[in-house]
Amino acid sequence: MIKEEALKELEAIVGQEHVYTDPAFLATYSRDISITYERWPDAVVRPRFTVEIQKIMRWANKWKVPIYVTSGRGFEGYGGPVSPFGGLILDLARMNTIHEINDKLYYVVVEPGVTYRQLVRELEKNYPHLMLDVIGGSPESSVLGNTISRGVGHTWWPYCEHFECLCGMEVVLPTGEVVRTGSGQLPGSKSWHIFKWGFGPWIDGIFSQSNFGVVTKIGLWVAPRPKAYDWVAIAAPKPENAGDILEFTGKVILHNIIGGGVTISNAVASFACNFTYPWEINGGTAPLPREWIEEMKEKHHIGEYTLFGPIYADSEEALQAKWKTLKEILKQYPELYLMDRADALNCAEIAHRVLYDQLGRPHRSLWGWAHWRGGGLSFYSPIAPFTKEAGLELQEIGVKTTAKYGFDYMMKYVAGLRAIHHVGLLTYKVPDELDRARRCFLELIKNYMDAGYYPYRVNPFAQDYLLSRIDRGYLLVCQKIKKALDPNNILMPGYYVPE
Amino acid sequence: MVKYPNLEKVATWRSKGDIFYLCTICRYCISETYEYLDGEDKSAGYQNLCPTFDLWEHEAYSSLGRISIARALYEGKMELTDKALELIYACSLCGACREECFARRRTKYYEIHEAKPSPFDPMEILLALRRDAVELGKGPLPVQQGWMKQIVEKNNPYYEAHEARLDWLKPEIREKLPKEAEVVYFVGCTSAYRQKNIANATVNILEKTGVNYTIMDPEEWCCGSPAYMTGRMDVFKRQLEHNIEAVKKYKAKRVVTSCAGCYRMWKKEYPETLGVKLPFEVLHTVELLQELVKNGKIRLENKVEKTVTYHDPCHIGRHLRDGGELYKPLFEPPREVLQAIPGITLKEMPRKLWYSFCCSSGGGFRSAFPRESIEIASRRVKEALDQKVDALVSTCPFCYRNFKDAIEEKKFNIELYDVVELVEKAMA
Repeated sequence: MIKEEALKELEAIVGQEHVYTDPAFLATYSRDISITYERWPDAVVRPRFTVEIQKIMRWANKWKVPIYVTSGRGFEGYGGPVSPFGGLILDLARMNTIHEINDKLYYVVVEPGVTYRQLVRELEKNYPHLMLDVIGGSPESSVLGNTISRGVGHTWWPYCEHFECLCGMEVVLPTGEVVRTGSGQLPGSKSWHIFKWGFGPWIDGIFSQSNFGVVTKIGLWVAPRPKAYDWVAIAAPKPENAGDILEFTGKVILHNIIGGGVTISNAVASFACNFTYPWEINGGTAPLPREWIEEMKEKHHIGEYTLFGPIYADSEEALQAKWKTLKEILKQYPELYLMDRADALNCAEIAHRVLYDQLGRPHRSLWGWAHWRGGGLSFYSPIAPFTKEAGLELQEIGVKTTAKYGFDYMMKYVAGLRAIHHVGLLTYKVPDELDRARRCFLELIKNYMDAGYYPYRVNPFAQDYLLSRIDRGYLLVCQKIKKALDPNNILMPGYYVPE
Repeated sequence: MVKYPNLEKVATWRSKGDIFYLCTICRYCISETYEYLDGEDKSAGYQNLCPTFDLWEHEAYSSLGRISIARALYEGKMELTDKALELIYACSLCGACREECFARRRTKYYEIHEAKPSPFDPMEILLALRRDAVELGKGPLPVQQGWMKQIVEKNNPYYEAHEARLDWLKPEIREKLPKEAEVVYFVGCTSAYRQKNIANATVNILEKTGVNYTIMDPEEWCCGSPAYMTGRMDVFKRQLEHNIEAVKKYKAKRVVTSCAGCYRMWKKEYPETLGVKLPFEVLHTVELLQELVKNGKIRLENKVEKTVTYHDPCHIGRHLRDGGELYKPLFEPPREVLQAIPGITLKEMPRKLWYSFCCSSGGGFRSAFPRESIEIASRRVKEALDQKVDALVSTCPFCYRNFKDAIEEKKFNIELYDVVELVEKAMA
């Protein structure tokens, strides 16, 4: 519990109307759709300015109140604004200023509360020649939040790897000081958001997926809108093709044929974008019968895996040249085939990728996954190489582990430049299946880690589990940094760095 | 643990209390989607559909916040605090959240993949919450309890004498109102006591067109909508029973009302609450006008040179979704009538039809949150002004009243009309 006197001081910092302690307000911060345990914070504060955050940090040190940070609400498959330790939630949704859109040098400077929807609207309205790489989650997600969580999007390299495009941060340290990274450290520098490295040690990385500071501003490079665009949908018909599709994807990405934001979904994940779990045919049990999956694949003309990728180029000629190379590479995999475009667009997921994501427009249709069984969705996301072996192994582990707990194996791959993010979708009915989902989730993480596939990002629910595997030397460095920057351990204790 | 019997009734889908978890906090209930806009940036600057979120900019003031409260109360994780009470009444029950709610859309397909009514309805959850608040002796809010007493004692929520209900009516017309007629014009409290311009225009049209009509003098009582919306079902049922019996006494074949709130009650809630089909037809004035224009009884010959925009009232719009043969939203009739008026050019606002942005006078909101209500109405008026029109037009005295106050307070340069007023101007 936070003392009354402390709350009065907090109200003096941001104004009484931005400090919430009544359960009627706290209720919205008590749960998310993931496997996170329900937990109520003691209070929520919604500051507007960096200087207020500085004061809040000093306040937290004085009163020894732990702080959990969130930037509004987005897609919560990796966990939402639910503090695992109670304390104070620092909700940065009100910090929603777009400080700069540089349409000559193609970057934006945003605060944590700026959402994909907000930024895309601004770009579409006033800077149509710029394009933001958007995520497949929710338009309400924070651009800054996704970037520092190292999220990925759906256009092309390097823009689809969001942290790669981050250039210059403003961070409030847990003790209240402000640090500007990269060229921002150099007084009067004209290169803060165009030259990442600045001078001396490059420290931006330590503020991503960490609890070393509250990031209050970032520069982010945005893409020029491509002159030519097309899309491709390729099906891998059988489970045995799990390796082929992955290897093929690696080749077309490495040769810059398809944009790095390519997505591959398995059949059940695709169904979940079009309709909901067929309780009636399966008596409420899972996994779904193989015959039913085959029947639906045939009915909807989709493969066991379906790749949908953007092709961008500077001209129509260059686009056609890419198509030619793509078809040549495809010949090496006789079982993979180009999908009929009309069939492909009947698949809601593909339609939304090609009509929205790949054109830099966020959408929300993928919330369908959360409704597949009844309100619950958690992502488990091991990283893997673009190899046949990995494709088959990832599938085998996923199918076996989910089936053991009575769930279906649902996943999508999102590509990086040298590795693939296997975004597993654990969907469940809440509250009935939640405990079972938690156990399944942990075993999925374990089994993938045992096979050498570690998650690129993980729900706070499972972080201890993951951190128990991490190399001691690495953890020691992290813990020393944490102790130096946050001596009272007030900022997100245990988040990505064990106490 | 405190029991919430009304929440209990709506809480179960497949297992006890699971309905609340169908809300995946996706925020569809708050703002428009690209899907709705077909990818076009038609509504830049008007993204929010939820008026109270638009104003307070906090999820607690949206459907997802209220569903979180409902879940926590139902599961005994919090008490019904004063703030919680305020939040569940800080909503005009406009239903925009229900239109966009993704859980609602998806759960239509939970059974054999064919559309069926969804088990998940954010409006029903909020109504249940309000009814429970009443039954626990906490709701509605004090100011609402004040006018509720007036409804019981004086048959209107405006603290006016029942005897004054038809004071706006010309004595010569009032005197000859028959005790039996084909049509009962149900004036409604707001037109009777506040927006008398709408009542007068309606009666003038009825007189000119020779419709065999009457007004229930002195039997007309408040339709009960304010009681229904704030959870006082006992008061609502009292009004319902009285009004239906009164119409029967007049042997009317049709009840016509110029109020969107009254229309919803007569058309939807009365028969649904009683579980019977009413022995007479219920129409909104715009439906009657549409009919009279079509059959030539109204000749619109005077030019009304105006560019106007039309505001869809929630109660005759999206509130009438999924009514099958019984009821449907009145989107077409007002537009058809307006476009039949010579000289009128209709320009639509970005937020229209199912996605109309509420004026926020309904659901007991205006009385409990007057300043906020005017502010929200002002935002809607600004949206109208942005379309570069001469006038904002609607078909609900309650919307009219809120817009009127907003226009006066903020000194907006825009005219305001009810459809009946424009029709009256245009009639030969």
